[in-house]
Amino acid sequence: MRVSKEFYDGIDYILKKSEKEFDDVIAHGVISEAKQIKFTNNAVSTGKVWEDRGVNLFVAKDQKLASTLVKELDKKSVNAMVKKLARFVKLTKPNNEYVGIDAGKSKYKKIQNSYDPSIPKLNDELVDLVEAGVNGALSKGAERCGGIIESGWTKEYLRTSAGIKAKQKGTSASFSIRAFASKDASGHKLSCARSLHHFKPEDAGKRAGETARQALDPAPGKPGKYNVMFDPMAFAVFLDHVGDAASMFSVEAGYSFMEGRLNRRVASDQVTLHDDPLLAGGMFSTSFDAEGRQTRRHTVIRSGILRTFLHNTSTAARYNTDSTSNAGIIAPHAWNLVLDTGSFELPEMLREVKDGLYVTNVWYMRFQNYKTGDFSVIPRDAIFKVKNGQIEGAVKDLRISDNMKDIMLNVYGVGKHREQIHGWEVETPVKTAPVLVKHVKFTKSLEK
Amino acid sequence: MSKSLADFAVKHAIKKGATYAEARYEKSSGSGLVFKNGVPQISGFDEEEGIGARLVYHGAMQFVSTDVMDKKSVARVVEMGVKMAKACAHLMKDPVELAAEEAIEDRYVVKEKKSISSFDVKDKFELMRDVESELSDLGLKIPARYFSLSDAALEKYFVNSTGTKVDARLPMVGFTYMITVQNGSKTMQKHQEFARTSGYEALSEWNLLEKAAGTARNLDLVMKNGVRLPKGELDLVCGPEVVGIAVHESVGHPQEADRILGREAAQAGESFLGPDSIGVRIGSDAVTVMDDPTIPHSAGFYLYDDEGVRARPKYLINGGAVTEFLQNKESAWQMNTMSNGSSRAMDYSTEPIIRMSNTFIPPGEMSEEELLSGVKKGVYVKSFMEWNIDDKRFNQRYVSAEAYLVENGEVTKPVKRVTLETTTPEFWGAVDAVANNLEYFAGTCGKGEPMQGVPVSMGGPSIRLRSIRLGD
Repeated sequence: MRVSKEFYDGIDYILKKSEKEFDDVIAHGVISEAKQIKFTNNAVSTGKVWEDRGVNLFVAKDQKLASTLVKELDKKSVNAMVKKLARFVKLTKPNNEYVGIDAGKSKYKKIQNSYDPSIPKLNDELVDLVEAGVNGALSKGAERCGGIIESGWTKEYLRTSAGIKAKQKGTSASFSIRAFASKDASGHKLSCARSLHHFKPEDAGKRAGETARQALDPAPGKPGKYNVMFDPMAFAVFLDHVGDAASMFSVEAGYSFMEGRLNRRVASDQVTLHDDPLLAGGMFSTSFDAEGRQTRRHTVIRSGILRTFLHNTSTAARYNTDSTSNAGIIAPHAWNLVLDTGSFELPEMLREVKDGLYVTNVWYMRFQNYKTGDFSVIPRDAIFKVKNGQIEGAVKDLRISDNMKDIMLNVYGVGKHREQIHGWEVETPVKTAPVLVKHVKFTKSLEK
Repeated sequence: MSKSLADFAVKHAIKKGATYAEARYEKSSGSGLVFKNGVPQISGFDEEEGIGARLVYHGAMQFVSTDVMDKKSVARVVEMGVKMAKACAHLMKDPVELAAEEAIEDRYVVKEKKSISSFDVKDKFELMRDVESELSDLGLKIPARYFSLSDAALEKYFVNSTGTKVDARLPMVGFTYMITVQNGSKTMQKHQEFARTSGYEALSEWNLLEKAAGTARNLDLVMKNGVRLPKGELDLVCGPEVVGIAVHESVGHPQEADRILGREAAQAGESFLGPDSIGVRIGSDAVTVMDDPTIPHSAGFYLYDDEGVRARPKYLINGGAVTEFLQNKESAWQMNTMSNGSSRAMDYSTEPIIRMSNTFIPPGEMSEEELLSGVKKGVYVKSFMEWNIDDKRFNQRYVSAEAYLVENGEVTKPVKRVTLETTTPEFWGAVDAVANNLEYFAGTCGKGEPMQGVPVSMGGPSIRLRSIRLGD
């Protein structure tokens, strides 16, 4: 899909017309195209192609806030839409928590490895990459695998009534493969990148196949407390929830187990976690946030101490601090969560576990109480039993039933080598190495 | 023009060599409003339209979509689909075939008694304020309150190359709340969804004020007076909300034929059932489970699915045995059967895949009181907060929000945190009685890649399970 001059002119015109009616205006245009191939039982099942174009328009008048999606960008349609929005806003009630949008001067930083011109041209190559991933898994002992490959590009143009004019473009590619060596023995790996150079489906396939093979003949797991090594795919799920809990919106809405913990301990001293919107090759890397503010890296947790919540202009004003460039107009959110590496190689980590479990993936995490952090989550795919620092077979049918505060406080080691995780269970991209957590509580189905 | 673009997509795909093509035009006009702790956050409206099309080219299935509503764009994405189909050919195992269905031409409209358009922005703010006031009038400490209201009028047009054309107009309204109730240093939370395929007459069905206030009051009582569960095996009565989630997770999902065939292996997962599991017993004689999209005004309502197949009620389990999987045209072909109209897409930009609609246990003969009267010592779990199930849909867990002891047939004291962690056959095998107090609860079911959230309902009457082990 070609990005026409009319698209950019249309956004300029939306701003021009809206500024006359409202105090604050943000017009954020996005054009994107994506392709996906889904594969099942080692063969392609469906191909998909999407194209999408629209302008998210946010307006505020006397603290009354409204948003809409503008699809038609000709002047007549824009005029009608702005009038309709003005009538709508008049009927709403003010949000007295709103203080405006960032009006600072912004100098946007270029994101490294965020655009690869070869990605939009991919077509036949996507099938070749699927084949390489599948063959990689089969070569390591899998008997079947399924998953998806996806590639796409996005162009953004943002204008605000605070004088912001920002553009960026990006590409992305992701590969998710779940390999099965038997019905009960599986491994799941990802590769996600913004440029083809860093995109490694074959490697992901081999690692998924290897994990599946190692997980053959799992024994029923026993409930109890274990020291655990979490693979990046598994620990990323926890860090994604830490990112959610760091949003000031989550705190206020009752969705955070870190409420009231600013400058206090929320994790062990092994944990230093950043939100890095400028991460080279980060899946959600961006030069500007939803208010047009230039983004910058923040340390959310330093050596276990919560250093900041994530803010937009309005939440920051309520807590007498500065925006962390994490807008979300209403709900601030993390961009890319990055956990500092530790010193451990994988064999050393297993030795540190000594007698415990090695969890390769988790899914379906649900909270009993977001404020207290009580949750359960299911280890999906291989769970390995570790005895005397060595893998000694696989186990199955266990569930982690624990508390997020305890999980983070019980981290006792971080690996050396990080992976970027982004997918079904991890909505905010997370870059993490394997992580050691002690005394993790496992439960299982009670039968007569 | 817009419907004709769907017609054009089908014709263009066939012209380009597709052996089968279908297209959906969808237009959704909706609005939404969010309140947090009594403060209106933001409101808005959207109007979205687009074309989603599927084509089979040399045995390869392709889905394409665009929201640029002109022939040039539709032709372009269709041609991109054909191009990708050609590329996929060498990695196909078996060519995609679809079970044949009769050609249908029909139109259906769900009428609104209190139309979405007549319920204006002021009414919506007033509703939010009313819920807020109802909670604050309780005199309880409710430190976090999150409410979201949404509505949409959806126009759908389906056309395929085998002669089916279906037009539909479906209004939908939804409300979600999440409340945190505090008693001393303790807190409890409850999330609840409401959805109805109708206009704003839904409000009189939902009793939002009463439900939200009742939930807050009862959570407070559980914190204040809740006792710990006695140890040992107990009889368990699950109320309609708990029955609903159990039916959805451990009966509906494992009977989705695409999971059984491995198509969702890397995302939503697979199933403990296999293609040859029809007739397999997973519950007691008392257990019958249905999925029925045709229930008027239900959250998961439709009369034709997104492959143009006529919807119908389905018995997933009858008398404890598996009777029918949820099928689309592709899985039906692979299993040598017919589609039962279970194919749904979240919107025009997503491929139709096998989904539940309204999944439930039909009512039995006895009242809930009669059911409870047969329990000497047990627990009644009315609602839940935490839940999950493994991706084969075998090991599941539900943790109570509201639960009560049952002593000599009477519901007595509130109980704290009842945890049911069990397997699918263990749970359904223990059911010995089904009451007649059928209730449905709305939810958003997630599946597919990209993730598609579709409105569903789930429910049943209260059921009684004998001698269950509870606790972590």
